[in-house]
Parts: sequence; structure tokens; C-alpha cells
Amino acid sequence: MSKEYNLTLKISRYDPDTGRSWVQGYRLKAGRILRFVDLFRKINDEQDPTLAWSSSCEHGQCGTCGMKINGRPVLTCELLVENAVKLFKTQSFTVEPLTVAPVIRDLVIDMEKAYEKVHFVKPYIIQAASKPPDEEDEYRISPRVLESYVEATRCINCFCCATACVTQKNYLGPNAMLANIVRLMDPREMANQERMDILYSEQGTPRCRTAQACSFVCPKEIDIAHFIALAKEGNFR
Amino acid sequence: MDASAQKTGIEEYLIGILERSKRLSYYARSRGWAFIMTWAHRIAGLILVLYMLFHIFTLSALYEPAAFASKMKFVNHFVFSFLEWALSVPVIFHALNGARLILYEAFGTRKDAIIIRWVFILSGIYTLTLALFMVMGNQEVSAGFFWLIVAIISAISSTIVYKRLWHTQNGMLWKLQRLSGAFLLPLVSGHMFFMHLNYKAGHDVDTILARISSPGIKALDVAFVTLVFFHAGFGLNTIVGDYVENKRIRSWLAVLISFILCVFAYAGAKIVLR
Amino acid sequence: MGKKLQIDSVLRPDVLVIGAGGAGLRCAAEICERRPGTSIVAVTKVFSPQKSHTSTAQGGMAAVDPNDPVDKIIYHMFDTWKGSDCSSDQNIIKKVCESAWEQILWLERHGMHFSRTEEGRIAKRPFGGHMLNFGEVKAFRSCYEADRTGKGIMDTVWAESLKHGVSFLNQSVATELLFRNGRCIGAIVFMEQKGKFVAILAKATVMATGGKTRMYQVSSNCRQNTGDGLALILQAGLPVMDVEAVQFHPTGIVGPGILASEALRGEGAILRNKDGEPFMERYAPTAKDLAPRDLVSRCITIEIREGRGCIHPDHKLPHVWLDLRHIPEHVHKTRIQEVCGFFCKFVGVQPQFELCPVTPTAHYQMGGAPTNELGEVQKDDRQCVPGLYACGEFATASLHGHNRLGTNSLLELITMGKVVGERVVVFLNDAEDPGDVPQEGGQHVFGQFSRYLESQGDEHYAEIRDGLRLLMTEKVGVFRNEKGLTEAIERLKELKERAAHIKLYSKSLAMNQELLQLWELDHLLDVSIVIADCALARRESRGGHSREDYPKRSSKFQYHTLAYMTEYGKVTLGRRPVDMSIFEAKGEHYEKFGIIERKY
Ligand SMILES: Cc1cc2nc3c(=O)[nH]c(=O)nc-3n(C[C@H](O)[C@H](O)[C@H](O)COP(=O)(O)OP(=O)(O)OC[C@H]3O[C@@H](n4cnc5c(N)ncnc54)[C@H](O)[C@@H]3O)c2cc1C
Ligand code: HEM
Ligand code: HEM
Ligand code: SF4
Ligand code: F3S
Ligand code: FES
Repeated sequence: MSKEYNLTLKISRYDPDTGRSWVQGYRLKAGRILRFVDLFRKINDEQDPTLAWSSSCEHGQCGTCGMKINGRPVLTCELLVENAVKLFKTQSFTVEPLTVAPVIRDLVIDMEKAYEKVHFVKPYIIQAASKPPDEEDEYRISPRVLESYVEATRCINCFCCATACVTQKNYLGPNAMLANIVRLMDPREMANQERMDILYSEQGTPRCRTAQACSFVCPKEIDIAHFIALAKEGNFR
Repeated sequence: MDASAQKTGIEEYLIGILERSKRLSYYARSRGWAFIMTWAHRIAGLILVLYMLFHIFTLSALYEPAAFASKMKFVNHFVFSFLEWALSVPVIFHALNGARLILYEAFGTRKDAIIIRWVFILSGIYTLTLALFMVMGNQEVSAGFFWLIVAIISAISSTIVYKRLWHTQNGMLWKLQRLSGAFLLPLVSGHMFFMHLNYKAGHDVDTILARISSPGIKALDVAFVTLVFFHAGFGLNTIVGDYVENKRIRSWLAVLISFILCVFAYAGAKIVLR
Repeated sequence: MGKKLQIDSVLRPDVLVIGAGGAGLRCAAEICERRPGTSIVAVTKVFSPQKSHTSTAQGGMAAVDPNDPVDKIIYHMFDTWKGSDCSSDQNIIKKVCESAWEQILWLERHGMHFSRTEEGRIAKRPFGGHMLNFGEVKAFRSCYEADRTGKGIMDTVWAESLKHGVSFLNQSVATELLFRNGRCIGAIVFMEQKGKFVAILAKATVMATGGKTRMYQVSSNCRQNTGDGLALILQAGLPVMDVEAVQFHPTGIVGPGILASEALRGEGAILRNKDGEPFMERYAPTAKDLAPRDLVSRCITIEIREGRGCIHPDHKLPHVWLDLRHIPEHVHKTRIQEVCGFFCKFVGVQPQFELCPVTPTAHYQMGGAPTNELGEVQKDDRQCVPGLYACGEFATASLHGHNRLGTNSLLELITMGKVVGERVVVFLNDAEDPGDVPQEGGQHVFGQFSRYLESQGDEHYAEIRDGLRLLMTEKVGVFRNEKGLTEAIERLKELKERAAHIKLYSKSLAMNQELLQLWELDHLLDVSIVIADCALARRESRGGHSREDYPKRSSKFQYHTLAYMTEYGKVTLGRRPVDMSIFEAKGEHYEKFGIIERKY
């Protein structure tokens, strides 16, 4: 028989219709390998169908399900009960929405607002490097060059890092910084000056205090602080 | 990688000690050790700013020996001596941790867990030695020689940082903040140390006045006070920028902070130059 | 509930894209490039287009590189045809395979971070079913970005659309298509966050709502893949095609259904039953564990049915084991680290020391809205609906017939997305203004929503959802038979009836997940019954559709199934012939494109 846990979840709730916010406790039994999203579903099914929470892929690949569990921003579709108990040494958890955008209801935040910062850094190639006209095929990018920034391309914009960061205001946030830096390191991008202007602006590098909480919480284990430090060093190759 | 090494190595080790403080272990588990270091750095920086204001205030009495002596008498009380010693904790922590940050940001030193460990070890050594010297209170060193060495080290460390950072497109003030940090690192830790080699060096009006009559020390002290207040001003303004969203309020606060610090810097410079 | 449901505002873009996934946004980007200044609104159910399900695709995207000395496009075409069990359309195969490389270059030039070879070129890897020389040796044809090709594609097309100023309506669902005189003029969209309806009147509407297999117990699809698009099409009286063809991936991680890629078996992983027997040796003595997806899925299902499977103690689901313990440590460390990590992350198992629980997972829907080779949605086997286009997994052109080859889906999204984009641009040139919201616009969805809001019953949503999943898995899953299917159809009708009496606790409109789930459940039930009906009618086994009572493929069913449903359970069927243009053109190697045997 597999182990069961007696969990207490203290979930932050918010009702946009009345503007009321409160913390609601739920007690539930759960097997060791249920994920937190499964717990929410279980609460919906068995106790309270009105609890709203967000997820999509439930594969740890889309970054929709980020929440703060006992203060730590995590992807709730990746966090098994067993691991959470081990990590926090308790069977009682607080569940709060991420702090990067206003809450819409309960655990659901207005990601669109949070994304504005990512949009701001233009996550595409602004101006592509031109190639010799006879070269009909792909750009040549050496695997070594790619390797220097490929880690950073794995970001799924879950905003866990931005929630964990010391700087919450007037800052693009670690993930938007990362999106900008990736393109600066991408040899296909030509509009580097435009990118640097954003990078070193008042809401860019000076706001990062190398707290490294971003790297600490990133579910994709991207060392974001490293990339931001590269930017401060002005080292993009 | 580094991030994970940090999670397993120093992290676990320190969390063991921290476990007793609920708040700290909460942050250590949810944000990591470096996050706590950042906060500690900030708090230490703020303590130093406050101390500097107080420091200039007391020093301004240097030329009225009676007033200065009466202030110093107060200092002689053992509680105050203890506080003086305790000040070395934020001083050395901020200095070494500042160095760590500069290493991380400008020198590609990503073995941060190890450096963090060294910040603690060296801070410990510094504060303990300082305590030892304070208790003994009988060391003699030629002021000129001591400050020459410190000035040279400061010049070297800030030049290295200059070479590393000046060509980047980082904001000018931001770069100066790092430069001033690198310059202050030997200077502040040396300053504090020197003042406690023996009791007179730091607290006896005549000794002090004799010392600062030397043009070399004058020059160094002026550089010292300017850099400290620039550094403090930029530091405070960045902190303000982290919290105040309204641009207009931010600018006004910047003007206010700069004004106050300039007044103090001016007062400080006047002390040595008179 | 005094709240009146009404259209809150009206938007009038040139083009409405329903479903901002890989396909939808590739299409949007194409339109913007060809016709700058076109106003496009892209609607997505998720929080940001980037969160669409395309992001989870791992393997790669198939394309024959013209610089490759050995691979030829004709081989790729053959593999696709053979893989489909001779039921894909050859005009589409030709079109898609021929423009594949061009699309890889498009992605690469727009910033996708493909993995590279030593020379700095795009790297390629082999993938199940892709062969050289008409099935002789494996081909290196799948262009990839590590194990996140789909994410690379999604990021690229999303960022490109952003660059061109496409406006996004996130967390919004298309709830009803609007028509005037048979022409599609847009849709009613429900904005979840605000709880408001907006009518979007567009000259052209592109549907690309992606996958739809959430009606199975174990599914690799995301929470939002509830078949809304198909339900909308059915509501509008339009047909869906080949929906009986559902692909089950053999090794889904029990519970969440996440894929444990074929790569594991490629590296030597062995499937074992309850008794530890490597059972694939019995079914496929030569290919063993590396037999094609559908075959392995069937074998696992037989094992489970005959009592040689296990029941997972936590998820209470039947499964078999995938054994990775004998694989050398360096392989674990270097080549399969990420996928093995999934077992660790999602079921707490260490693959190096423990057996991993796997079970077939519903993965892909070959069927969908029928379109012609230009991506225009058809209303029967010949005529199209003006102004309505479809691409991606939602649409069926059909490239995959009754079985899809790995990596061909991403290829289809991108190529067909582009084709539709081109077509829309032509259409826009002399398209009339869509006019105003039609009189009856919104009536359907308002009816639906007020039914949910006013429901007096005391049924539980979870019970019906679980009932549906169990039913579909058991009766309309990997194996189907006459009796099971007939029973399933009856039971589905009961479930639909019960679903109308689900009690709704929260009556708010804004971000009411409970309300939206009911709407989704309705769609799952709609699509499920059509799947069951089509499966019942197809008395043969072909690709992903496998009938126990008719285990062989039959030439009598050499056509696409079209299905209409105007009233719940009243499914009328039609046919669309399979395009055999390559065969009929009698060009080189044409004989390979006849009705051939599918044997590996
Ligand atoms: C785990 C996994 C791995 C895969 N691996 C591969 C692979 O290696 N190679 C390969 O070729 N294929 C692979 N596939 C298949 C392929 O990824 C999918 O077929 C493809 O991504 C579907 O893309 P799409 O653009 O059609 O839909 P999606 O990307 O799913 O986008 C659909 C969009 O429509 C929106 N939407 C849905 N309903 C509505 C509505 N009612 N109103 C408004 N918007 C709506 C959604 O929010 C979403 O934005 C894989 C699939 C899965 C699940
Ligand atoms: C001794 C050598 C010193 C070094 C190496 C040093 C280094 C630094 C560095 C690198 C920073 C930037 C931190 C960041 O932005 O993340 C900083 C910030 C700061 N420093 Fe110093 N510093 C020193 C001395 C001082 C002194 C003497 C004062 C006070 C008078 C001071 C006050 C501050 C303040 C207030 C900040 C802002 C803290 C924050 O942003 O959170 N520092 N210091
Ligand atoms: C508690 C221990 C300290 C003592 C006893 C002490 C004592 C003194 C004395 C006596 C002077 C006079 C100038 C000189 O002799 O060169 C001085 C100057 C100065 N001290 Fe300190 N100091 C202490 C700590 C600090 C610290 C921690 C800082 C930095 C944050 C600091 C910053 C300065 C500056 C900038 C000057 C130059 C002032 C000027 O030019 O007017 N001191 N200190
Ligand atoms: S960097 Fe990491 S934590 Fe931050 S958004 Fe990207 S994936 Fe999430
Ligand atoms: S946590 Fe924040 S301060 Fe910098 S290193 Fe990361 S962005
Ligand atoms: S739901 Fe996609 S990352 Fe968790």
C-alpha cells in the first residue's frame, strides 16, 4: 500500500465580484505522488468546485501553473506531494498566486499584464543579419556558440523567477532580461544597439542585485543570474 | 551547475543553523542563500550610511577639542566600545560581500557558493582580530606608511575593476558605484583597523589633528569622503528606485538625497582641509 | 440569476484566428508578411499564445534537406503514405513534403534555435517510420531543437506575430461561429477573465484550435484540449472527418499521461508485464519493443486486459512496466536524462533502479475539420464554406490519414499554416465587409450558458467527467468492437442527459472555471459520440482505428468518413474519396503509392 499524507492547504482566495480576499484552509488525504495540480482538482471534485486555479500542459512545459507554495514560486504541475513534504518538512502548505500581476480570481493571475515586460524586450529578431545572396540555406551557427546561450532559450515564461526576485518594481524582471540577452547572444540579430539600450536602461541591469533567487527557483534550472551577469560584463560571445 | 551546488553545499549547511529563525529559513528555502545575502548587504549599507552621517557630525567637532573630548568621553564607555566593535560587522560584511558581487558581475566568478563561504570566514577573522587589537590597544604603526600601502591597494583594485567595466555600456553612475566600491574596500577596512591599533589613533584629538595635517592623508581623506558619499547616494537612490513607481516622486527623492549627502560630504571635506 | 447574457462589444479585424497555437500563428505571420497592415485578432484559451500545446512537442519536425546526399522527398512522401495506412490524401502529401525544407528555413530565419551539427548546420535525427529507399534504413530527417522542438516553433511564430502587431485575446474562447448566407463572418468570443462576450466580425476566419483528446483517462493533451473547435463546427452543421482515428502513444507515464519518448526504447528499454515478462517478444519477434506506436499500444492493452498488467497504487490505473535498469549509466546520463527525469518528476520513480509505470496515452487526433488542399473548410466532399479556413491538428487535409508519423504533425502545422495564410491574403483582396452581427448571433451560446447557470439538478461534474473518460478508454479506446461501441453510444447519451443537471455552485461569469468546465464537458461529450459513431461505421481496422471484430484493413472502406451531427446522438455519415493523385500521375515510383501493405 502506498503512503498517504494528511495535508492541509491554506489557499489564498479572491472573489472579483465582491472584492473580498481571504485564506481558506482545506484538509485532504493524498497519495505520495499526486501533484499539486491534482490536489487542486481533488479539491474541486470533492470539496469546493469554486476554487479557481490555472494550468495548461501539466507537463512542466508551458509555465501556466506557477504559484507560491510556502513562499517558494514553483510549477505546481511538477511538485509531487512527497517532494513538497520533503522540501518543506511539513504537511501543511500555504498556496498563493504569483506576485507579478494582479489576481483575477483565487490563484489565477492576469498573465497578460506580466507578459507586457516580455513584449517590451521584443523576443524576436528585430533585424536579421543579411547573408550572402548565393547562400540559399540556413545560417551557420557553430554548436559552441549555440551552447553559450542555449540554456537561456529554455525559458517558458512561468514568472517564478520574477516573483522570487528582490526587485519587484521598475524592473523588467529576470525572464524578460533573459529574453533580451538571448537575442544579443544570437548571431542572427543585428539590432544589438537597440537591445543594449533596453538592457542597460533604468529598468534593466541596475535593478538586478545578483540575488540569484531567480536561478534558485527556476523550474528549468536556468542560471539566469549568470546571463544577467554576462550582460553586466558586456560579454555576449 | 553552480545554482545546484549552492542548493546542496553551503545552503544545507547554513540552513541547519538558520532553522531556528523561522523568517530566515523561510527565505533560505524559498529564495536561496544569495537572496538573504542581498538583503543583508542592503541593511549593512543602510547602517553604514547612518553611521557616516553620525561620524561626520562627531568629527566636525575636531577643532573644538573640548567638545570633541566630551563626545569621546562618551565613547569611552564600554557599551560604546562594544558598539564600535559591532560596527565592524556591517562594515566588513558589506565590504567583502560588495567585493563578491563585483567578482560575480564583472569577473565571471560563478563559484559563488565558495565565495560566500569566504565572505563569512574573512568577516569572522576581521572582526575577531579587530576585537583583539581593541583589547590590547597598544600597536604602533607609522600612519604615513600604513596609508600609503592602503592607498596603493585601493588604486590597484579600482583600476582592475575599471579595466573590466569601463568599456561596457552600463550606466556611468552604476560603473562608478562599482569603482568606488573597489576603492573603498581596502580603504574602509583599513581605516577601521587603523583607528583601533591603539586608542589614540582614533580617539585622541591631538594625534588625529597631527595626522591630518599631512597633505597625503588630507588628499586620501577627501577622496575617501567623496567616494563614500557618492557611493551611499547612488546606493540609496537605487533602493528608492526599487520601490517608488512614480517617476516624479523618484526624481524629487533623488534630489533630496543627493542634496543631504552633498552637504555632509562638503562638511567632511572641510574638516580635513581646514 | 437576473444577469442578462449579451454581446458586450464588437471587434472588426480583417482576420480572426481562433486558436493561437503553432498553426494559427504561423498563418497569422504569413498574412502579415504578405499583406502588411492587415488587422488580425488571435484568440486563445490559454494565458498567452506561448502557453499553447504546441510548446510540449519534443521530437522534431520532419523535412528532407536538399543538401542531403541520400534522402529524397519521395521517400518522405512514401513513408507518410505508408504510415497513414493508405488513407491520406496524396495531393497534400506532395504539397507538404515538398515545401518542408522551405519551412524549416523560414523558422530558422525567424529565430528558432535549432540544434546544430559541427558545421553549424541544422542537426537532424532519425524518428519512427521515417526511412530511406522506401522503407529500408532509417533516415535522418527530423530537424529538432533539443527535446523542445515544439517550444521553439511556438516561440518563433508567437514572437513573429507579436512583431507584426497581431492582437491577442488571451484566456478567451470562441463559443459560436457566425455565418451570413453560408459565409463565415467571425465568431462570438467569451472573454473568461472579464466574463464578457465579444462579437468578432472578420472577413476571414481561421480555425486552429489544436488537439482534442481530453476525453480519455490518460492523455498527453493539455487541460484545454477539449474539442471545442470540433464542437463549434458540428454546431454550425458542418462535418468532421476521420475522427475515429485517434492515436495512442504506447508509453505515457501513468497518471499525467506525459510522453516517455520512443527514444527510451530506442536505447534499449524493455516493456514488461506484471510477471516481468518482456512480452513484446511474443507479439513482434523481430521489431520487439520498437514496433510502431499503434501496434505496441495494442499489445500493452492486450496484456492489461488479460490480467497481466498492474494497477498503479496511487493513480488507480492499469499499466505495464518500462524497464530501464539494465541501460548503462552513461546512456542514462547523456542521452535520456531529460525523459527519465519525467519519471522522477511526475511519479517519483528512479528509472535507473526502479521499473517505470507506463500505459498507452491518447496522444493525437488524426481527424478534424475537413479542408481542401488550400485549407478551406469543406461543407461536404466538394464544396467549401467561404471565409472559413482551418489548419493544424484541428484540421484534416489530410496528411495523416488514419495514422500519423512522429514529427509529421509539426510539419503539417507550419506548412498548412502558411498555405492558409497565402489563401486568406488572396481572399481578402476582394472580400466583402462582413456586415453586422446577425440577428440570431449568440443565441446558441447564450442558451448554453443560461442552461448551466440555471441548472436545478444535483449531478456532479467530476462524476460525469470521470464516467466519460472511463467509458471512452474502455469502449472507444485502443480497441473497439460492435458491442462496446453501441453500448458506448447509449451511455454517452445518458451522460449528456445527466450533464444537463450538473449543479453549478458559482454563478459568476468572470473567470469562473466551474462554468467553463461545463461548457467544455458538453464539447467532449459531443465529440466523443461522433468518434464512437464513426468508429462503429468503419468495420475494418486501419491505422489508429482498430476493431477487434474486423482486424483487417478492407478496401470497402478506402475513403474518409465525414460525420455531421445536428442534434445530440443523431450522426449522419458521408464520404470523401482518398486523393490518389501521385499514383494516378504515373510518375516515377508511382507504384509505391498504390494500396500497399503496411508492414514494418
Ligand atoms: C506531448 C506531445 C508531444 C508531441 N510531439 C510531437 C513531435 O515530436 N513532432 C510532431 O510533429 N508532433 C508532435 N506532437 C503533436 C503536435 O505537437 C500537435 O499536433 C500540434 O502542436 C498541434 O498544434 P496546433 O497549432 O494545431 O494546436 P495547439 O498548439 O494546441 O494550439 C491550439 C490553440 O487553440 C486554442 N484554443 C483551443 N480551443 C479554443 C477555443 N474554443 N477558442 C479559442 N481558442 C481555442 C488553444 O488555446 C491554443 O492556443 C506532440 C504532441 C504532444 C501532446
Ligand atoms: C567597503 C567597500 C564597499 C564595497 C566593496 C561596496 C560595494 C557595493 C556594491 C557592489 C554595491 C552594489 C550592490 C548592488 O547594487 O547590488 C553597494 C551598494 C551599496 N553600498 Fe556599498 N560598498 C562599500 C562601502 C559602502 C559604504 C562605506 C557605504 C555607506 C556609506 C555603502 C553603502 C551602500 C549602499 C546604501 C548600497 C545600496 C544597497 C542596495 O542597493 O541594496 N557601501 N556597495
Ligand atoms: C568606529 C570606528 C571608526 C573610528 C574610530 C573612526 C575614526 C575616524 C577619524 C578619527 C577620522 C578623522 C580623519 C583621519 O584620522 O583620517 C575619520 C575619518 C573618516 N572616517 Fe572614520 N572611523 C571609524 C569608522 C569609519 C567607518 C566604518 C567609515 C565608513 C563607513 C568611516 C569613514 C570615514 C571617512 C569617510 C572619514 C573622512 C572624513 C573626512 O574627511 O572628513 N569611518 N574616522
Ligand atoms: S527563467 Fe526560469 S523561472 Fe524565469 S520565467 Fe523562465 S523558466 Fe520561469
Ligand atoms: S533574483 Fe533578481 S536581483 Fe538579479 S540575479 Fe535574479 S534578477
Ligand atoms: S501546467 Fe504547464 S507548466 Fe505546469
